[in-house]
Amino acid sequence: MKQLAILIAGFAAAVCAAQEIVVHVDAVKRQSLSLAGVQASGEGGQAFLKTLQNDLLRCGWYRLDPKGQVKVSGSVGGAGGVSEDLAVAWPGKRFAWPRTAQDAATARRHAHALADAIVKATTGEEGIAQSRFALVGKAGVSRSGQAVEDLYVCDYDGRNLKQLTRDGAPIVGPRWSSDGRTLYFTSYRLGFASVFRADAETGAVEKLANFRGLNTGAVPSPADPNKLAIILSHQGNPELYVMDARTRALTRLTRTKLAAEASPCWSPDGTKICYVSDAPGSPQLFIVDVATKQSRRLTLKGGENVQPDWGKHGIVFATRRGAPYRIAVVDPAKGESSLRYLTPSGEQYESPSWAPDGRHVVAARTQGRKSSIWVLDAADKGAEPYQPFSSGAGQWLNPAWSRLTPAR
Amino acid sequence: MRTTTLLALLMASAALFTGCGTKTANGGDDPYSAGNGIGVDPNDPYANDPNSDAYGAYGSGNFEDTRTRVDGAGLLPLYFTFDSYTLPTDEIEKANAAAQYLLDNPSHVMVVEGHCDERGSNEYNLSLSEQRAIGVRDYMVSLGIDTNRLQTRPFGEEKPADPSHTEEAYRANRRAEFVPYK
Repeated sequence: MKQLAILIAGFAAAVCAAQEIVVHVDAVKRQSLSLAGVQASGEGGQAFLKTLQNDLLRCGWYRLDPKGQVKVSGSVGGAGGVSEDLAVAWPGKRFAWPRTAQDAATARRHAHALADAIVKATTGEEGIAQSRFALVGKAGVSRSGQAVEDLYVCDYDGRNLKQLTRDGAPIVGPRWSSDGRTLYFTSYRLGFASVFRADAETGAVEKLANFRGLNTGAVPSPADPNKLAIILSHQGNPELYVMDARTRALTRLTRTKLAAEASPCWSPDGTKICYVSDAPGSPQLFIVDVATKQSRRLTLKGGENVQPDWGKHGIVFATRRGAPYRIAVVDPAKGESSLRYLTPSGEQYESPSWAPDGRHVVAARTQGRKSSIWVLDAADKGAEPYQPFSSGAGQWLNPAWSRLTPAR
Repeated sequence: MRTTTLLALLMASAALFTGCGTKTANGGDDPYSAGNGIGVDPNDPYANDPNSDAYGAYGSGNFEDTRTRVDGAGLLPLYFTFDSYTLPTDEIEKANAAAQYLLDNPSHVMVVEGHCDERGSNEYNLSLSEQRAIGVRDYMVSLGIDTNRLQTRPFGEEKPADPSHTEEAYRANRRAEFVPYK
């Protein structure tokens, strides 16, 4: 954790130097922020303020204090539309926020945008208030025993839950494109595992890979949205490839006749892929350099190390080391010696995914027989995991956190 | 076509075929399995064309789409141990029976399904279940079955035989299933 604090503080300091931002952020210590100067009226105004307050709490950079160093003041609300007449001030700096929204839903979107703007201006960090989750929702099991599942998206605070597919067939491994517009996933809607992509707004689905055998694990490169890492078995058994999404041309990255690969994820600069292989006898994490195709092993301990996601502060993954699955983070340059856990032993968490701030992680937690979505904080060890929405009767699994959100 | 007994085939191929489905850290003929890396020779002129596989006389589509499923063939599932795709010796007879079926019905084909229990990563379980199906397929090919008569289907943990959460259910779900088509 101290390493991460140093990393985050170092990053913030570098940004501070570049943009002359006065406030310096310590990853563990939160800045004080005041909303006491905001007058909110009407349904829209109240919705705006409530959303803003929740966002500023959830981002992890602030604690709310009426005498806070960062002060948000002004008025929001009104009779007809929602008039946003606000200002954000902190020592030496200030910016205004003059916007209007026609309804409460739009006012909430504007509040998310303001929260992200405050985070960016006072810490230099990416905000998460405008980001979204992709989720697999499991309604039950069909008569043939097959899982009845569909793909969903929702805002990071659980609002605006939208069902994207209506197939009632198993779905595995949704992954976002870098621009937050497209979802790649494995679906059994045709009766067997094929890779599809869906427009996150319209839900329009397009088939991408339907080779013989297994098609799964599709995830686009952050450097080039037309390059997908993908797992295919059509040339013998499950192997890692990079596929051009336009031409379907394949570049093979592993050759393991006696082992299976799974769950690829790209490095943030798009030059490497971290993936799972059971070549050592159990599923472990490996890293391959895409240009040279040379692989090296990353994890050495544990019965299983699976489902990696690569963010700017390391690789987050699920590990089974004698206990239920826990979420852990490792520095790819340092390996096992840098490993630290984000969840306690005795609690079962799987399929982690980094937030755009490279600090928060969304994961699926199993309690008894129920799977639900939880948000973890990789920077603040004292922060409790929380549920962004109450699951109700449904089962929610395999969450993916969008990297960016397109302007809506 | 003269029906060949499975026993004759087994005896003939036993010497050729050993350890199908066994995974070892330094296994078999894989030149890249030594050490910790799994490199690929960048000069390997491996064909990138996914359509270069020859499907032969049995057709190129999925058997479920192009043929009729045969019910009541009585082929039992083959069960695996946890996190493994080695064919257990006391389960091999299920694959032998499936191969015998194909020898007895020369125009029929078969889908080999791979399944896992619900524990673990559902993403890795897709690959693991495919590895199970492939191990069974490769064993049946070693018995003399034309590879074009077999297609693999991985289901991961998505289609359990027993949806409950007991050890018995897990055992029943770690399986390969044989589905004939005519």
